[in-house]
Amino acid sequence: MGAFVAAVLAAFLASSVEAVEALTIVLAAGYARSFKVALQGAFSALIVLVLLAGLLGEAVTNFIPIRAVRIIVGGYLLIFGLGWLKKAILRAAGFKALHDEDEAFKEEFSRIKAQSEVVKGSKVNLLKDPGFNTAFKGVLLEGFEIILIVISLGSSTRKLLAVSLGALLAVLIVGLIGVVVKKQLTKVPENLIKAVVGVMLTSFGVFWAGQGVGVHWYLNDLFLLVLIGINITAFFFVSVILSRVKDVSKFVKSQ
Amino acid sequence: MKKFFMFLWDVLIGQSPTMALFVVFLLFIDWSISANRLLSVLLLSVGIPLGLAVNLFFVAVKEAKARNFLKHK
Repeated sequence: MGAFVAAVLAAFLASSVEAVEALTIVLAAGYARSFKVALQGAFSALIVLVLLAGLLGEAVTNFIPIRAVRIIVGGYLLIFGLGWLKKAILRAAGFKALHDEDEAFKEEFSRIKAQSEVVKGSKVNLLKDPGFNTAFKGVLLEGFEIILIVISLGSSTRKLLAVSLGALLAVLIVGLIGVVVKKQLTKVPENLIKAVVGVMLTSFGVFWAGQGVGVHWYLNDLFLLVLIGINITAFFFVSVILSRVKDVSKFVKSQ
Repeated sequence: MKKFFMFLWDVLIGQSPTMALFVVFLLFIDWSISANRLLSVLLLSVGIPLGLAVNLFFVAVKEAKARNFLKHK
């Protein structure tokens, strides 16, 4: 039961980051062009993704041995997780600017608006429509990342249902937020989500890569909680140390 | 002989000391799995965040140096 909930939570958090990014692009495309066209692009991408998920899901879960999957997926999650964790620590310590979703939205908005001005008034193919194209590409890319998360988490834990449920919940909840708010998601603490996701992916990555190479974890799956605790501690501890390094200019001068 | 070792070093590990350390770390884990369960668990669970912390410390010092340099320019 604990492992089931952990899998749902991990998939939910990881997928919600991707879903927020996809929603940002769709909303920007919708505001700049038209929501009808943006939604057409988004749903077209979803159809492609469903077909892709069907093919990849079956291939991964039926034909690849679990140990090899754990090494590959563990390594993949570890690389991505450490990348996210590293950025989150640098953000928390003040070495990296916080990712401003509102600014990202404005940039995307003005880019599409400028493109739309060019094609306005002329009869254009839907596939050439910047609103359709942007929403399609955005949803396809972020959706594919969600599929990778679902397949990698699902095949490694053998809890594909739990992971799919977590991802589906994330997409539905972020979608609902998008419908209700219909503007940028500045209020969503994306940086906090990224830090948590970094911790989760790193912990799962270490756990599976370790299992893949033959490490016998104490407490079995429960050791994941220990790993999460270690990585959370590392996050806070390193953030505090780095913020001191940033502030102590004397230290830098003496180097 | 030296050239041969340099060539081997470049081919196997590249010129990155971080990569070299990572390879040593993996070999150490590989050895520890069969030698000592506790050591292998500790190496993976604590070694990786510790490695990240060391890496970030150097990134931060480098960044702080660059900022300090710009401030005094």
